[in-house]
Amino acid sequence: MKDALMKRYLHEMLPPLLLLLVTCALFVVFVRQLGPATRVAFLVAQTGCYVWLGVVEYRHVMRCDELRRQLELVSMMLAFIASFGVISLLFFMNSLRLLVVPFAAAPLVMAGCYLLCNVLVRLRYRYWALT
Amino acid sequence: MNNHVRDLRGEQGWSQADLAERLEVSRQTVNAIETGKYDPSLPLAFKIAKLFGRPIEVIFEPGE
Repeated sequence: MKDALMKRYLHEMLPPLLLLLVTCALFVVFVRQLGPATRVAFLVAQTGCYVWLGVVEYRHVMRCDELRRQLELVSMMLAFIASFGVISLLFFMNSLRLLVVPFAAAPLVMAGCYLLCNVLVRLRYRYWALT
Repeated sequence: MNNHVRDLRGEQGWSQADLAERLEVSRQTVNAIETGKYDPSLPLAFKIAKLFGRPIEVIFEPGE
């Protein structure tokens, strides 16, 4: 059952992930030659891939067992609390000119907080399966 | 919440993986229930009761 779930997940996850990587690679190669319309098309493609990935991830978690769903819920709640706090702190430090923080740091902080919280919650329940 | 899932599983001679397969959940979920780290949902609790052929209140008791 778990193998079938994982196979289905990978089967559904690969197309949007590949599309995302291809659009990113094309953007990096052709960034200097892109006109305004192409730039908008790139943003639309990126957003579309992200939404597609989000839907795949959500559906996968909903198919997993109830402890895994609880684990995701708790880790996302903790990650939101942590990342919102850290980003607010960085924003104020930036505003008060105590530290120069690039905007690109925000998604990294969010992803880092999520990974850390997910690991902590998995440690709590000793849950290491991906399905 | 206290429960007797480990004892009942032992009586049947099942491993955690065996029970997990019968309940269609992960082995980690069975382990978390047995160690009291996780209280199962009502549908899963009923499934456990049905599997062991005992009333739900015999398997799960309110904790202190």
